[in-house]
Amino acid sequence: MRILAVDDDDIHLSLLELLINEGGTHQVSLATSAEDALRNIHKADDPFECFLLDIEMPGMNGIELCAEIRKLPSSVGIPILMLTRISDQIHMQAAFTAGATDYVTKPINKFEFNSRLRLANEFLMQKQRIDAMDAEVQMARSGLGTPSRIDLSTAITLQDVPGSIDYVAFENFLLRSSMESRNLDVLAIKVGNVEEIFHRANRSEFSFIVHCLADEISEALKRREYFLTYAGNGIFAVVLRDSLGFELESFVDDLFGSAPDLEFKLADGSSVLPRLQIGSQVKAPFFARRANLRALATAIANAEDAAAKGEALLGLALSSPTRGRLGSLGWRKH
Amino acid sequence: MALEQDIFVKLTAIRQRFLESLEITLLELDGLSGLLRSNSDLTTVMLTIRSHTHRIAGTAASLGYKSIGDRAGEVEHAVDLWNAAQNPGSQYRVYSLLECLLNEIDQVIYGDC
Repeated sequence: MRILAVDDDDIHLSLLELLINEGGTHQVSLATSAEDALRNIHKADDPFECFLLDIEMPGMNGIELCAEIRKLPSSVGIPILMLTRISDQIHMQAAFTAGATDYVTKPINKFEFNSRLRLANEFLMQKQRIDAMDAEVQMARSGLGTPSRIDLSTAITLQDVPGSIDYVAFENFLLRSSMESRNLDVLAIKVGNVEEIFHRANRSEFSFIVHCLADEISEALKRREYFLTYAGNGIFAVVLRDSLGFELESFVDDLFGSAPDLEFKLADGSSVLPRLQIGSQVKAPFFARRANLRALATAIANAEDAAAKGEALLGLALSSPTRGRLGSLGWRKH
Repeated sequence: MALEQDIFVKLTAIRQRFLESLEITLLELDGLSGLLRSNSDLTTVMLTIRSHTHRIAGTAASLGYKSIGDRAGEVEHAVDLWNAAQNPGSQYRVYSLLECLLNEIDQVIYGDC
């Protein structure tokens, strides 16, 4: 990976450089401030593929820098790792909100550091695979090739959906929150007929529908502190971070409101009607290291189970389905 | 030169740079400790102490100086508490923790002489 490491402490920066170069598989550039980093990013011939950002720096801090980097089109799906001390972890929610993928704690532990870099590399390769699939679809759409089958399980990164973070960042947040013994509520929402929608819609249409649904979930949660992600297989996962608990009924009211069912019209003239099943939420109050990840797995299983049994089947009702989202996909209310 | 030896040499050089910077920081923190007992602009003094200790806390343990890193982290935290409370008790806490840190750094740089 081409990595840009940013830290105002030049000695720490040298240590990072040494650790990154030790494996011999990555190239690293260094910057001693956020402003210096942005200059490096703009003048780089090849875009950076991973960022390591110290949080506390004079001038623009690492979280603000992270948000700036995320505004760049070239940063979509690129791992951003924050460098933080244990006592700085109060800033980590803000960092995840700003687009961070993961974090590395100071003092640097060589094995943890290498393992985080390895995960970042896998994350990047996954992104490259998705990019390649997108390119194939583009070719197919322009008549230069044949359409490829996109994996139903692909975790689509939500764009411009409030509270949304990448699925890998979502898992990392849960994993790290377990270590801080934070009391979180985790729930999952399943598109019960996702397979039907997936097979009938093309990739753009499918992505558009996923984004519209995410917009509505986000709208229903607008008074809460939360992270939302699309985990693939028609599953939206939500973690509520404000310890206010969760009431299924009021959430259903907020999500479905009083609007009638919604139908998405596809390019081939047919239409699809997404159906959502909400699994019962799972509290993750345990101190065990992976408790929150287990809570996520349970929440997803609950939603899958509800979908399989047809329980709590709720026809999609969207009060304003294209809120803030532009697209050519037609829709109509019943 | 074997890779491991090369890394060892580079790491030693980084540690050396850290110790040299620590020597300068020691002098600066010593001066700031004195200012804590005077009628100086406490906010500026505290912010400068925090800036120094934040850096040390982030780097020292990574280079094998865990005790210094821990002490520096304590001073940094105490400055944050002072910033919230701004009372003589929290000011004294910063002062006493800073003195502990200065002693730790002294030990590392000059040994028991």
